[in-house]
This record gives sequence, structure tokens and C-alpha cells, in this order.
Amino acid sequence: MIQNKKILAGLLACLVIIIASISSLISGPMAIPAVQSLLAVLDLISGGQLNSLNAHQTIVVQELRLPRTLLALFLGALLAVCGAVTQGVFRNPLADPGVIGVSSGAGLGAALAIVVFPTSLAFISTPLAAFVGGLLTTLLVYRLAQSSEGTSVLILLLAGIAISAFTGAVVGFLSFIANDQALRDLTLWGMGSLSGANFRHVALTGISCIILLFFYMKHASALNALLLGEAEAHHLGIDVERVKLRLILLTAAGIGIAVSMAGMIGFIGLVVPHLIRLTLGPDHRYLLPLSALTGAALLLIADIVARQVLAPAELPVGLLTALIGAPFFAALLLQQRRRLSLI
Amino acid sequence: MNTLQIKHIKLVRANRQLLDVSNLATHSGELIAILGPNGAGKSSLLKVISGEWHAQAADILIHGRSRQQWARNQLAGHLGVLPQSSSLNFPFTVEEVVLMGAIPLALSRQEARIKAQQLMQTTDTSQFADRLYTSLSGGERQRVQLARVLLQLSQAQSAPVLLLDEPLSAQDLSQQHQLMSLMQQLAHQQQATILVVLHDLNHALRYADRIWLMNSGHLCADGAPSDILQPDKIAELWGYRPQLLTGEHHSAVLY
Repeated sequence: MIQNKKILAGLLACLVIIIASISSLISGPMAIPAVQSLLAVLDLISGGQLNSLNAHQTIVVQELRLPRTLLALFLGALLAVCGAVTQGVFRNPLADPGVIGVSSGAGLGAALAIVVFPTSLAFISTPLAAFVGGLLTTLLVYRLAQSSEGTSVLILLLAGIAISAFTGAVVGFLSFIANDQALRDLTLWGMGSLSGANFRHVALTGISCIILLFFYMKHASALNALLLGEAEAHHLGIDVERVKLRLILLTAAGIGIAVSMAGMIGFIGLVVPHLIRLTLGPDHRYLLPLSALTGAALLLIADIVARQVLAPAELPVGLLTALIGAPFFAALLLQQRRRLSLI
Repeated sequence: MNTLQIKHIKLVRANRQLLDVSNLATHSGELIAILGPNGAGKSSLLKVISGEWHAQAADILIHGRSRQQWARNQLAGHLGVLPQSSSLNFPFTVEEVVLMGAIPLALSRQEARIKAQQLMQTTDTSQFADRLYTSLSGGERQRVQLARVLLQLSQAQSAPVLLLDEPLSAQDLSQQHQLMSLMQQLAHQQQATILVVLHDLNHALRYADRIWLMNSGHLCADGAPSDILQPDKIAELWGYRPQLLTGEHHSAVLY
């Protein structure tokens, strides 16, 4: 019965993803018919001559809209599962990588890489620096907030404020000393937009998303046990310290990659797992794959809206997710207020 | 073979010696009550045995094997711990919480569910199988956790060891007796070894086969309840002299 509900939810999310993908391929300043757009995609896959579009239209679909669509899907999935796992490791439903400052840390790493090493290696150095920044902040926040009772929400949130303020100042300083090219890169990146998507981004994000989900799923039962408490997980035969370290490393890598690809896109990691828990329960064996699907659908829809609202100009998608996510977060705080005072 | 053999435990924390015990052994089918005033080291002893705390010295054998000689999952299937309280903050249903006991076991989903349902009957929790764990009272939660731990131990190949730290604090009078007689049943019928930290000396007198009396980190007596719980001994440890009532079937301490 409940099993069926979960399968149904998964199918529903897949359906939404398909519809959103099609509308993402056909929406934009250049009008391209749906069938033709799909043919252009098939053409790219098969390398054949299926396509009846003219060269301009083919380029628009194959080199702009398709990578952007795929990037939105993988990035949404990545952000959602990283959020779900962060909440599991911190044993706290409010622990979003954006809220507790991990994304800011990753952002600082990325900004440093952009300004200090503006090399042709930026493709690798930016995600790597974002990973290191995200990892260091996660470990810092974890050290600060951890106690035998779980993690203190108050300290989590305050740590987030402190880290965001600090990284904001440093990024400001970096943009002050940056040369013109670096400043341009920094500004573009900081807006949190998917507009620069290309197939290298898609490949890196897609591969890391799949690898992460694979390893997370292997730890799904351990994550469930962790929610009981660390001592309880230990008594259930789980090597708690090792599992936590692995999950923290993987999540820092995921957030690092996400932030270096598209800047700050907040709240997907908070909203999506929460919605799934609310409707289908917190069991990570279902929470993780369903969060991935829902996160993919949500970010793609957000990106389509961001492209349409002020067309032909476009809104950075990070702005839009924050616009939806921040009130959601406030409502969640309100709802959890009574329980929070106990922790 | 001894289910537990504690050759030596020495625990020092923040320059204070919390535990210094040696040469203790338990047998299968034994319900042992651990008693002592606050700060005697009762909970610490359980935490070191369960491996939750690392001690400076912890030479402990479980079924003749040291912790390192066990595979993690196998050990979990033979050594269970009922926590004092759980900080679970996510909306799992009661049945899902109980089923977590199957994490270290090689049971199919269906087998685990059947076993879980039986154990929820045993612990009187099946009536809220579908409710959210977070909506239960303290006493109900503890019984759910007990069902989970019993599931974890249900596939043990040799006598399981169950550690309980003050399991009665959130239970009412009849539930206290239910829980203690369930523990007695587990020990006597299924040959489990049960170590339980208790505050109420009467529960110990009535249900325990053996008592470990502790004071300031040391074991000061080990023996049958009626031998150990004498007014002089109690007065020495707790600083209060009770009256002992001796009945036909069991005796009671009046305080």
C-alpha cells in the first residue's frame, strides 16, 4: 500500500520531468516547434540526419537548450540529495547546506579559484576549490554544533550567519582586487544562473550526481539508524564515525560541484527532502531517490520560469529558488518552534 | 561458556576515575540487576560493555571473543542496548522504528515484518504500529525501542546479551512489572543474559537472579538478591536504613 504510494510518486516525478524537459527545449526567444526540437535532440544522440531544422535552430537546441535542461535536472537532483543527506548526518530537518553556511564556504573556495588562479584549468580548479571550501566549513559547523543530544539548531543557524558574513566579506575583497576578466567571471558565476551551461558542465554534474546517489543509497540504512541517535546506530553495528566522515566528504564534493557550476542556488536541498518526508516518510531508501527526481523537476521548472518572467531578459534561477524557499524555511521554523526549544 | 567475561575495566574521564572493575562473568539465562547510589558507575559500566565509550582498559569477552574478533553485524545480533531515551526527531512510524532492528540482520523484508509484528505484540505496542513515533509518550517510546532491540537480537545463534539502563523511569506501576517480568521471561525461557540498571530495590529483589552492587566506580558486592540487599549494606551505601519485610514468596524493602 505505502510501497505503491512511493512508486506512484516516483512515476509522477518522472512524468513531470519529461513534460518540463520538453517545455524547456521549446521555450526561449527563438520559436522552435516541439517536434523539431525533439528531433534535434535525437539527431545529436544518433549523429544522423533526422533533423529538419535550419542550422541556427539546431545550434540553439543542441548547444544551448539541451545542455541547460540537463544541467538543471542533474543540479536539482544533486542539491536535493545533498540536502537530504546533510539533514540525516546532522540529525536535523533544518540543516540545509545553504542555511548552515556550507554553500557559502564552497562559494568562497570557488571565488578564490576564479580570482587567484584564473587559468585555463578553471574547469577543474574551481570545483576543486569549492569542494575544499565546502568541506572545511562542514567540518567547522559540525564541530561547533555537535553534542550528545544531536545538533543544536541555534548553533547551526548562527554558524551559518557567521560563515556567510565572513565569506561575503572575503568575496567582496576578492572582487575589489580582481582584474577585469576575473571580476566578470566572478560576477557571472555569483548570480547563480544556469545560462552558461555546456556539455562539460553537464558531464561533470551528471557523473557526480549518479556516483553520489549510488554511494548514498549504499548508506541509506545507516542513515536511518543514525536518525535514532549515534549510540543507537553504533549498537546496530554501524561504524558511525566512518559513515559520517564518508557522507560529509561526499556531500562536500556534491555541494562544491553544484556551487562551482551555477553559483548559489539555495533551498532546493531544504524544500525537496522536507516535502518527501511529509508525504512519504523519512526512510532514506525512498527519500534519496525520490528527492533526486523531485529536485530535478523543481529546479528545471524554476529555470523555465526564470527564463520566462522577464523575457527576453532572464532572472538568475538562484533568486527564484530563494524567493520560494526562504518563506518556506520561515514556515518550517515556525512549525518546529516548539520542538526546537527542546534541543 | 560465559556470555560476558569482564576481565578488567578501567575508565578515567576528566581526571576522575569512574570505573575500576575486574573479574566479573555472566551466564546465559541470568537477569542481573545493577544497583548503587547515583554516580556509582552503573551507566558507565553499561556504556563500556556496549562499546559506546572507550575506556583506558576494557578487557571484555563476549561469548569468549573480544570485540575486535567479532564482525560488527554479528556482534550487534548478540549484544543489544535499550537506550534511556532517544533523540529521534524525524517522523518515522512505530513499525519503521521497530524494523530498524533488522538492519544488522540478513532477514528478508517479509520475515522482518512478521518478526516485528510478533515483538510488537510482546511489548504491547502493536496498537500504535502505524502511528508516528514522535507522537508517543516517553513510556510508549521506550517499549517501541525495546521491540526494536528484541528484533535485533532475535536471530542470535547463542544466548544474546541485553543491556538496559533504567528502563522503568518512564513507565507506570503496571508497565514496570510487565517489563520486568518480560525481562525475566527472556532470561529464563530464551536463555538471554540481561543486565539492567535499576533504582527500585524492590524490583531487584523480586525479579533479579543476581545483583551487582556498585559504589564509586567499584563493584562492592556480587550475589543473590536476598543475600546482598540487607539493611546494613543498604545503609552503608545509600546512608538510609530501611526495614526489610520478609514474606512467603519474596521479600521487600520498606523505605
